[in-house]
Amino acid sequence: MKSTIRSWPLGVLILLLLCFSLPSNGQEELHYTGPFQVGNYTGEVDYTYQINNGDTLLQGPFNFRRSNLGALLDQKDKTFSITGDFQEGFPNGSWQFKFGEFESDKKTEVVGYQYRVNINGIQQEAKGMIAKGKPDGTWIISEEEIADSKIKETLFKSTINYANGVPQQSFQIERGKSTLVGRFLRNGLAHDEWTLFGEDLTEIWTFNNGLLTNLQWETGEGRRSVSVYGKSLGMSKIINLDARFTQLLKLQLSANDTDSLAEGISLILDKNASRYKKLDAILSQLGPSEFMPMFKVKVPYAPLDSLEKKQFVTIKKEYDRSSGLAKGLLENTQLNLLKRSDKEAQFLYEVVQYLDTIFVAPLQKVVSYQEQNILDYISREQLMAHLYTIGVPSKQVSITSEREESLRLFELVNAKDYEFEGPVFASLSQIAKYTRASLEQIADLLYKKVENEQQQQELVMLEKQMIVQINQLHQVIDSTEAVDNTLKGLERIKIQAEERLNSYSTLPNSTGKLEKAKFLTGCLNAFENLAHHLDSLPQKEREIHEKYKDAVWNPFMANLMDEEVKKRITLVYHDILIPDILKQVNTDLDCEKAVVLHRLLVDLHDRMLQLRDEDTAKLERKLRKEKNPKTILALFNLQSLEK
Amino acid sequence: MKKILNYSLGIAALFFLIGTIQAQEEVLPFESKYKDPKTKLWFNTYGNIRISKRLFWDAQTHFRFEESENTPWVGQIGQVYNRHAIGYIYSKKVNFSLGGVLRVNFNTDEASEDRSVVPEFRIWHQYQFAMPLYNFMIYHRLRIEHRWTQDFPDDSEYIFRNRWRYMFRAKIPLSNYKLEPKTLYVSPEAELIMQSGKAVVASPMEDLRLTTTLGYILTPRVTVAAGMMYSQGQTLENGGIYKQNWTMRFHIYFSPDIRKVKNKLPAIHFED
Repeated sequence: MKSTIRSWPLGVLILLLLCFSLPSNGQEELHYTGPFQVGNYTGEVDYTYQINNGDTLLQGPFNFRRSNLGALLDQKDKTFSITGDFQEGFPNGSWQFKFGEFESDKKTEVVGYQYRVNINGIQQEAKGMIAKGKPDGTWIISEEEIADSKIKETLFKSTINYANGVPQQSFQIERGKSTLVGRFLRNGLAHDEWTLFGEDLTEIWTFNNGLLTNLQWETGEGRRSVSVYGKSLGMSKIINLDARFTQLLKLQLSANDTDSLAEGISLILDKNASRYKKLDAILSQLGPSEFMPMFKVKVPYAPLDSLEKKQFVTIKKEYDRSSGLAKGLLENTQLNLLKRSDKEAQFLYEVVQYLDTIFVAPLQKVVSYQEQNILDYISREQLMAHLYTIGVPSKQVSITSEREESLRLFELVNAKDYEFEGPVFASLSQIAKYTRASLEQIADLLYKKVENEQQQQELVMLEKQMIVQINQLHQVIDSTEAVDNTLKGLERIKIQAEERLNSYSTLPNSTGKLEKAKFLTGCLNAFENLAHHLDSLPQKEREIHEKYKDAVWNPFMANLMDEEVKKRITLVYHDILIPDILKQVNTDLDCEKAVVLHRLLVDLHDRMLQLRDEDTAKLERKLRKEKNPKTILALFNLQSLEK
Repeated sequence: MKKILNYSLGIAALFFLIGTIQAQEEVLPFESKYKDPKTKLWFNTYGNIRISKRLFWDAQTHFRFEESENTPWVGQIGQVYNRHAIGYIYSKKVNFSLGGVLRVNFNTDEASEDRSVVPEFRIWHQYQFAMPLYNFMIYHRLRIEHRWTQDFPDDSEYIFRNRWRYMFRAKIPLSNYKLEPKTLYVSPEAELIMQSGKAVVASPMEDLRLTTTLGYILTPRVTVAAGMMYSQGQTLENGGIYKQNWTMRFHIYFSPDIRKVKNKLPAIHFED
């Protein structure tokens, strides 16, 4: 009985908790108003959303905008307003985008109860329906020039009908004074004539079931027609009518026609696509969307087979290496200087220039086509014809010297091993290999030349340095105030340095000479450093002597006197350590020893200055009977001379 | 009782004084007479032991020899001196001392049959002023001694005298431009010792000492010196009779510092 009474309120509580927690766990709509950022757009937002499994899912109306009156009056304001609806996270329903870039004339007027400011600038607008992230129904994207708050001119206007993201029926795109009209099949394939009515040019693309068969240009002067994809079409594939298609088209046409293409339909389609892209960039950040025009065309399809794919990998590899080599050589400043004085270098440099334009550049095109994903849609013959308009280049590179009016040839010795004729990708990979091998050979020759030149110059510098060093050494010894063993040590250093310089001077000009010269300058430097230190030993000793003095009041004289302190330390310095170092200088001096001894002298001096201020009672006790310089150095915490 | 004692002491002193005057009067010559000079040799140690920032212990021991009948200079021991004091360093140039002396006097009268050794006690205080001048130093020393002496006969009473001493001394470096270690210096000095006391009637000038010393500063803490002194002064017995001495002097000066290192550090310089 008792337990029933107690459990009853608990049950009610659980029931209540369940009731309250249900909406929050389910589809409760939350509202957010405040600052918001999408891409580069920052402004105030107002939207409703749901939390679904921890994710924010936009649901219901969405309004994101920005305008700044202060900025408008000050200079210019970039304003935007994006309104629409979401359903389960997808953009869905009626949408409107407005982007403006306005300046004001800074004149205000009060109309009714509002301040009115006139604005000038550009307004872009897009509106239509979206179904599950895809355009649906009629979409109108426009751009207008605004002057004094009125539409002055329509710069762009595209009107396209969609059914669930697929363009339908006819469309119209106006750009300035040009208008493109055309139509689609139900599946979005371009069909029939697409006509661009320009100011003084009419461009017509004729499609047959998505396949572009004919291009036609009509001007006041006449009419020109080019047929594109013929009827003997093998395999085909449906692709989007976008920049890639334009690129493909260019590969079909002559240079002249390519130029005509640049200004016409392809440009207007490109402009249209970029406007859709701008909207898609915003929408796809808010929820899943595919807001692109998706005009479809049919093109021949000739995918690379596995062998060709392998060959392409080779082409890419060899191209990367070749282009690196050519760039390195052409931009090498030393080489640029050397070629002025060296005929051979000049010749090789020009070969590199030739190879770079005639061999490397077409390879670069192939690689870039692959990057643009168009190699699969172009016939091999067309590719070859496009890459090498005047035919496959000869292996033999001939360079005419301007100065001497003579002809020189460059060709790899094993040129016969490279087969330029053959299936397109096989031929291209051979050309790529030949290019790389040629450039490598030239690079080898040229870099050696540069290096040799550098070495010669370096050697001259080093030898000059040696003379300076030996002279400085003489100066030190001639002007020193050092005496006895210190002076002997200096003489010894001089003799050692002279001996080494003499033996160097008898060396022949061989490959190892530079290394020897470098070693000798290092060695002379070590001797010089040691000599400088020995020369300054008397002065250094005076410095230590001064440092190891302490002012003491003498009561009998009633004055301050300098007292020598820590005599044990100064004593081992003068009587053991310095004589020992000098002994080593005078007995077995070589380059390495000179470095070690100089280091030791420097360290010892520093240590002596330090010890003056340290508590050395213990050290002094230990030094009392010590005569071995190595042990003393160890007690001083200095490295012994032994390696 | 006390009155009687004072009275009787007064009488005794009067008789003593009259007796002395009578004795001097008896022999006071018309012209001053100079005794033959005695030759002496002093070996003195001077310790100046630093015990704190401002205090030092002045410890001096002197051995004074003099001629005997057969041996000049060092024939016999004359006095052994133990002079101690606590000194106060007012500044680098000025210091004061106060202390006591125990002097052991040996009977140098070879014919005497009296006691051979008697003690002598003094309280002394001194005021020393140093002045740098050019590259040398000059010193003024005022020393006042309160002295209790007795004669060698068994029944000798202690007599009390005050001594008033002024010494002027210079120390001039010879082998260097200033007084510092490894320097030989010369030190001329002159000291006048006056005395007073009931026993002193006609001989206030006890001693005039003229000395020249050559010294060598071994380290800031040890100095040695040697010199020759001529001195003369009135004898206590007769103001007309002057004694004279020629004294060789040998000195060792040492000034150890028994403070711990950390206590020495801040105060080597005083005011500067």
